[in-house]
Amino acid sequence: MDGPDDEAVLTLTFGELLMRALRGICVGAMVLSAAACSDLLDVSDPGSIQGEQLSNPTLENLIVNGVIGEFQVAYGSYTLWGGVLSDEIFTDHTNVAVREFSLHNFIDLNDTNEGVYVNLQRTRQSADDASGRLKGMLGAAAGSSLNVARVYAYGAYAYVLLGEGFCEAPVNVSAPLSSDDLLRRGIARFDSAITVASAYRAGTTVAANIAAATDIINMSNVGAARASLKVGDLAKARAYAMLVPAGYEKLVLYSSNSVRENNPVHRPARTADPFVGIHPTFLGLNDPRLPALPTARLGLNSNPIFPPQRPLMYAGWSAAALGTIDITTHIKVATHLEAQYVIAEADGPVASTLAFVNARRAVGNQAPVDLSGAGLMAELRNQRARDFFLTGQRLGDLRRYLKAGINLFPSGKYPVFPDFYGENKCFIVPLSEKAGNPNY
Amino acid sequence: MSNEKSASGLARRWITAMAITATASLLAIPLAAQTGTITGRVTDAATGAPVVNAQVIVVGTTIGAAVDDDGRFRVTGVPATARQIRARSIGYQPSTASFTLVGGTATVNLTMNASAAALDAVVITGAVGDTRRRAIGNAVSTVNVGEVLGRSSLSNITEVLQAKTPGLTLVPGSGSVGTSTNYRLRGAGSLYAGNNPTIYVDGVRVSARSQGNFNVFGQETSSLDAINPNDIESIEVIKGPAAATLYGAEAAAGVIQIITKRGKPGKVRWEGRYEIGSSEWDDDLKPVNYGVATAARIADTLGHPGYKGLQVGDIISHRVMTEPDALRKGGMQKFSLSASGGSERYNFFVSGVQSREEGVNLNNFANLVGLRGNFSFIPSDKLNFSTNIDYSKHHVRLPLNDNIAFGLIISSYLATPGRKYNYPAGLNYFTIAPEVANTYDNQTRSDRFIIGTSADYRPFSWLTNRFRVGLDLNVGRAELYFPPQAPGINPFSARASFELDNTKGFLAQGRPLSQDLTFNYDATATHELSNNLVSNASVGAQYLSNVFRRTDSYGQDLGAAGIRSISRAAVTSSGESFSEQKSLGFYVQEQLAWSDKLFLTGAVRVDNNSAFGSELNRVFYPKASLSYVISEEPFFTLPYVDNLRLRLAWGQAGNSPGPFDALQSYTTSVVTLPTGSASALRYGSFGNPDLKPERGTEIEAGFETSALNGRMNVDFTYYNKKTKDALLPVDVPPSSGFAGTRLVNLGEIGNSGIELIFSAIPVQMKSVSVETTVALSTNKNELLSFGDDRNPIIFGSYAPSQRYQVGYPLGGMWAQRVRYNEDGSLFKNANGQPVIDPEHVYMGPSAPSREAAFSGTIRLFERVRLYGLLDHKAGNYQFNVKDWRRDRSGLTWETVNPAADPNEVLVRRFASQTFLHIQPADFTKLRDLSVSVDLPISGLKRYAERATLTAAGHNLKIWTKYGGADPELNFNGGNSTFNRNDSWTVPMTKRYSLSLSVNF
Repeated sequence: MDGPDDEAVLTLTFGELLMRALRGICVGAMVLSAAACSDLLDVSDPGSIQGEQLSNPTLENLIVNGVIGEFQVAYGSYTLWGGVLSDEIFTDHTNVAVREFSLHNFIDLNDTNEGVYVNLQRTRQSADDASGRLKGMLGAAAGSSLNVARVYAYGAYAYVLLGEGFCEAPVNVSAPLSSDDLLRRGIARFDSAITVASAYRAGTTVAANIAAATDIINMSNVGAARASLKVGDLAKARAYAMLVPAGYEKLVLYSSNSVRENNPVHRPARTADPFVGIHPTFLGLNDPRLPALPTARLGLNSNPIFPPQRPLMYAGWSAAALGTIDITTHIKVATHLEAQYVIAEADGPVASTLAFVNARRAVGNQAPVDLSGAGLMAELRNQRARDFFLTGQRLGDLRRYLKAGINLFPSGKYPVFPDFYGENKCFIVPLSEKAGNPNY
Repeated sequence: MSNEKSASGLARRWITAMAITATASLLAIPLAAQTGTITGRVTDAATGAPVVNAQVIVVGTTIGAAVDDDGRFRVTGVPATARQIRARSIGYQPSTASFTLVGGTATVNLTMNASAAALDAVVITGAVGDTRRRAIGNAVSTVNVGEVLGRSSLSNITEVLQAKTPGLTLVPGSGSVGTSTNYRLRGAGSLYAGNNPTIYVDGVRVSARSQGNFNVFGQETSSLDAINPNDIESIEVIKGPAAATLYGAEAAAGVIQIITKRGKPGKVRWEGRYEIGSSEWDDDLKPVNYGVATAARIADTLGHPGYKGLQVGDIISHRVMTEPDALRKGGMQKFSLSASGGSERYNFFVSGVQSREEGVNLNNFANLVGLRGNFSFIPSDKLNFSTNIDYSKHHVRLPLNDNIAFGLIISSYLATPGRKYNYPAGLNYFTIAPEVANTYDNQTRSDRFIIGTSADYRPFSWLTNRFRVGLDLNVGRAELYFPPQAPGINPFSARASFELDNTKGFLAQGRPLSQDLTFNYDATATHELSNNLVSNASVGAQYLSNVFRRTDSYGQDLGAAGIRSISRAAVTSSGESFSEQKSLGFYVQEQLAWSDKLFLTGAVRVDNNSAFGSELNRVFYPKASLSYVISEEPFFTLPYVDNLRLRLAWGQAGNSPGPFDALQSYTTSVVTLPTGSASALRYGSFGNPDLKPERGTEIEAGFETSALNGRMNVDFTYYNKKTKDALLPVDVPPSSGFAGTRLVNLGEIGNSGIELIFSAIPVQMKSVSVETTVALSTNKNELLSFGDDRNPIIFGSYAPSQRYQVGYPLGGMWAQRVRYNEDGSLFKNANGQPVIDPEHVYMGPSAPSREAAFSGTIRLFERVRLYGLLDHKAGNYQFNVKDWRRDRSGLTWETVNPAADPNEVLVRRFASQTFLHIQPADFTKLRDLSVSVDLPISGLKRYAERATLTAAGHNLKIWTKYGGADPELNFNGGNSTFNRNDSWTVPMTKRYSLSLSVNF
């Protein structure tokens, strides 16, 4: 019945009604508290791993693979754009960020510059975090773990590339470190890699394990020699280089399995709609180590360019046949040849250096020379540029040559635009780091 | 008694009350017979015509009814103690009449006077308790969609709202059909959490996200376009926290409620509408490129055929995109049919629509097929059920434009005239020619279901309950297809296909699915505390859940043209994305009404949300408002003033972060090892466990008045809104291993402004009447604080052209100019090139700060209606990227003119300067112009009641000093929060249409 019910409720005073209403919010708040613990508001991201899960020993290989994977991406990116920032290649692109980077006239907001930085920093920090995580998982066994040695070695290379290519860079939200500081940290990590891998090798008799450990040791010796050369410690560089056995080659691997695994140089250098061309400095040399197409292709901005073909340090190179840089083409990051260059540079303009230079010239179909002193060292630099074309060596070399008063950076008019080359001679710390890093 | 025990006791009582309510609903039907019945009719006081939209309500109760087509009503279940009945309708002043039940029945006739102020119109959005406009302390804008559509050629909800609601700024992305628009209510109150308002359809929260198209490098589709405007009765817009408090932690950016049509008691009414039209990109809005004949160009007859026979120094020109195969006049055709009707116990509205619209690009269209059924069932005077079912099938094809070199616009705008570029480009197209560009095939289909059911239960005359449950399910299918090419032919770069090779055929298929669930409960108890004082106490709860998941698959090397199956591809890969967000909120509100003219409302809502950081469990949002119909006071004697209402409202609402923004997480990726590919760890999101929603606090004050017997109306509002704990996308330093940005509650943002609507009927005669409306709004937007001393955040798609900087508007436009010597001459470096001045110059906001709309309707002989709408936006700046790039390429007259100052040419061609190209974006557009004629159908009365023919034009003319064709563009698309660039996208097109509407 309406009436009696109405009356029953209407006997409540307004104050009582109001209080009941206000209490409702309290009830709501409590229900919310309860609900927060229930399924009602539970959500989960099926594509993510939480930080606390990373101490799980079953994820050891995933963590190590993460470091290697980041390095492969970062190395390819550095190789491409380091080549543009040096005198190896230039772009013909419509994108403004690419264009300004290519003109060596860019600021800390430039996307291209930032991409290289992000990739290298992610590799470096992944490696540093990974070594800590693995030590937590493995305890004392970490001192002789091949995986620990691996993350040290790959992380060290990230330090080296940061040091070679960047004017300065912080480490894990630190104040900026100089290029030499970064290189020294790289050397320290190579040393750690050698120590741990050697301990691992000493504790195994399995041939495959010994080979794997030796591979890391050789890789680290080449890397440490490289970094020592860049900081000007020639004696130390020579000492590391001397330990590298003949025929040693370490590849950065690429595959067609996913876009992330593709060789990053392929896309800009492919013969159909390319956007990088060999810089005039290295064009027309008739040197099979850095081959070029016989005719130009139109770049993305419709200018004629000669996209680079497969150079010496890319897997599958052949002096006899022109090859393209494919998405699956691996790149040699550390070789006995590099160690030989380090030794030659450390030895200076001596007879063995001249012999080495002429041996390299022969590979490039060049007649032998009889040079000495500065002329010989200049030719050594020339051969080095050809042998390691598009492998991420050139920018670091140009920077150290510049420190010695030899400026080989491109200048004057840009090959295909009406603009002129600017003054950027190294990658710069992007604005995202400066804005987000309280120590910057 | 401990607090816990007290609380659990309260909870038990609450649950008991809910159970009693539910049980009582089952008993409601037999109880109905013990009350009285009122019948009557509601008519226009001036004309005697029935007021067909009127609703009547028994004063002091929630019992009422809608009138039928003849204005007649019947209200049952009237308490024996009731004495007055009130009629209200949009466009009329309320009317009240007394009655006495004799023998359980009474007959009451009410007459109503027209009034644009419509104090007693019912507001649906953001209000509970007494929902008459007079009782609500905040501004609510209502757009009568039926009226708008009857006089204009409008394709979607965005166009319906354009220039209709002061304070609502719409920034369309593009003139391509099927693309989305950026909505902003009362300025940007957030840097990150989005400034698009929350959208509801009949109380059901719906998604406004993209339909899930594959990337065209700028524009996006909009799921709002899947809602048929012809089904909409009205749209209510509440603009800020003061009004949106009851919507909680996701409503600080305002709420838009779409109210669909319903049936009315009476015979079945049919309405059919057919519309045909076309749109075009005016040649006047296409620039002219210039080229100078050089010896090399003249000699190169194959590469530069346009220079053949010219002399060195001759200049040739070409208006871009005027080739016959470049663009088209886009056709448009729509057909809709609806039926509605009902009785006292049920009503229905069913409709269907088929719409086809072509864009000016040959590979751009947007089609819609929709079906709707709205059904209400009223088993007793205490209970009614309402169910809305909407199905739509939306199909959009977008061109490849915007920020990619293989778009047709950039290809033509940056082409040297007379030059023939190599395939896939051509003469006057430098990257791609029309016959190739138009083969780009990017299509998105969606099947969308919006279903909502509500039950209104009034167990007692003083108590109303409403339960509502709703679902918005949008199932999409996106497809991007490149047919296999002959060897050596590569018309589209791999960038157009996710960096995957498309030369052997490529197919990408995406399956986006979004699911929004709404559960809502509201209850209001009405109590007469004294003769003059009425209380409305309300409580409610709301649970929202949104799930979005998407799976993508890609196939390369399709074998043969025509194969459009991933499973037939030689190489396949896939991807997946997922997000989920849930929220739960409760509110309580008390509303006191004094003599039905002074209303005081206080409320608080408490919310929890899955997107909050782990350190936060709940947030509270209070509100208070005052509404005073001062004109109904005895002392109010202003001459000619019909009514005057004063409003004051204060309130808070939130803006929640994204679904997983609070979580720090890692993910997996892939690595190539000597043994093959393997999974690898990857850094994911940096996260922030302290993350909480932004808190918007707003005060608004205003008044509404009607004078001269409703011939002049003014609605004025001042608002001042502050957002605290603004979510800032703070750069994650990449040296941490993470990258991108993380959200931090830091900033403070201010928005203030006024909104004014002035409408008048300067001429009102039987043969001629003139109605005019002027709507004005201003917005002052400012980043008040970062919360710390960080440097400005600089961003921009092409140059560092925009900033978040304290003391300036969010996303304000900043430019860089070249250096000049002290004597004013151009400073040059050793190469003779200009040098950039490192200091950035503030130009202005990126969003309009002043808007005005003027509309006028002239009615002639009760048969002919002329309508026009002028839309003016001003105060903002736009980056004219098109001309920036054309200047740099030396294609504009300013850079080619032999008489031009060489230094100015140098500056224009200098890449880094933006000062000359970030330009004032003020404009005035003739948005709508139409004429409607009621056709003489006296001989067809048996078949039709009314037939109206309307000829309409949309975007017919623009007046602007902006350097480009149309500043109302943004290549970044409608979903972009702040990026504003006029680059490679289609300007707003001119559209003509002819429609015939028949009621029968």
